[in-house]
Amino acid sequence: MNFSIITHNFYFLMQGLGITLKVAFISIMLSMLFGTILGVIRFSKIFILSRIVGLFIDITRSIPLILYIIFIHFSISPYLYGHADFLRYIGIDCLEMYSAIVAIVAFTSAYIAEIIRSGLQSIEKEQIMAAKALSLNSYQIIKYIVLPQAITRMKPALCAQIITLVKDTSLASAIGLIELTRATEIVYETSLHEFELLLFVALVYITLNFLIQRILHMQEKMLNT
Amino acid sequence: MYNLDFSILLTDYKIILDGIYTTIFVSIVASVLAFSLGTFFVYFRISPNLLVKKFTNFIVNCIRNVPLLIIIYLFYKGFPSLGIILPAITCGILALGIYTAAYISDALLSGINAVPQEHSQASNALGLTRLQSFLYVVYPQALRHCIYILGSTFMNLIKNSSLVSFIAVTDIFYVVYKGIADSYRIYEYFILAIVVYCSLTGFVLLMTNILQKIYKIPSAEARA
Repeated sequence: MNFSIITHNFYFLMQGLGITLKVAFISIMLSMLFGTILGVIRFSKIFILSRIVGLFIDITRSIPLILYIIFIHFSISPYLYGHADFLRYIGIDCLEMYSAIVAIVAFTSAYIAEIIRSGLQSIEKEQIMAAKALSLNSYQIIKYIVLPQAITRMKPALCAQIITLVKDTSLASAIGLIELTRATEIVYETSLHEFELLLFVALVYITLNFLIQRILHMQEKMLNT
Repeated sequence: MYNLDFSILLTDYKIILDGIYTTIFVSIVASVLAFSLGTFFVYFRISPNLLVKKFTNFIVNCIRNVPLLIIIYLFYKGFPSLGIILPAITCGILALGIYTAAYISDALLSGINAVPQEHSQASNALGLTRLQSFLYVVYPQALRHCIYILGSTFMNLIKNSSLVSFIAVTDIFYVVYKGIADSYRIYEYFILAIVVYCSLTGFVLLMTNILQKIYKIPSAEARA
């Protein structure tokens, strides 16, 4: 056991952690947005649109994320080789990061869409009818009756999905994005201290996810009061 | 315009079949391991001893918060530096099993919570030990409560089994990745992978539905 390898490469590893956090943050924001849109479309009974979204959700939910990342990286990203300046302008450093974010967002928004749909479906029809009988308009029904209950029911699943997303960013190492996992690989490929490094990285991920859980719980408490 | 040409899949169908076989093999062995380990975990998570309970909860939480890739690397690249050298497929199965065991113990815990408390109290009154009451009274009922959650956990396991390709186990994802890298026929291989994974998870879904029909507790729906 020799932990000096970690202190020597600490800055490099923390740079990797920074990339992980950046990818995770952008992906969480975007997949919340797209997931909500898809979930509402799936919930609404617009015939053909709902079917198409349903097909997309079902297929995405039954294939592994790593396949998605590889597919996006090989099929869509090559068209963007000439536009690195534009990507840098919107805050994305490299093409790998773009592929990873697109794949993770497409993948996670399918899961979030399903969570949102089931949350909306769990509100009983009688409540909406009762609200209508009390002559609330549809905006008021959504704001005061449906959303508060649906959000409370969806929250645990959404928290779990966010934690899963943070863990999933480690798969971006497959296409060479230097985030925490890839940074660790680079360090231990040149040293003989794999075990210590991997233990350290596992601890970093555990701490990160515990912190995220804490923040989400705090926010939950604030909403409840 | 890209035109699909599936003849590339026919030329190396043997490798593809081999990959599918490896995926199924890894999934089945890992799920057996995960199931037994998950049962083991959940037995300690409902222990009356607070220290054991807290400790097991902590372990399960830790496993759930680490990416599977890190666990796989820990087995494949970390352990050799301690002097333990295992073949790649064993590492993959062990890591996958331990990772999924945490999720399965969660699913089983929710099932156990759905079993009324009186059952274990009654079995205590009849003089069963804690292990006996767990094995013969609570656990079989808990299984029947959480068939769907277990099914989705197993589907996740099948999807996660693609990560063993990172340590050079030639499963279907490895074959697809290598095929794309060799021939750059992205769409054919991607469609192949979708078909394989969809049929595998679809099979599990079908089995779950059948099991749910046979084994669901009739009173559970009335109570809910």
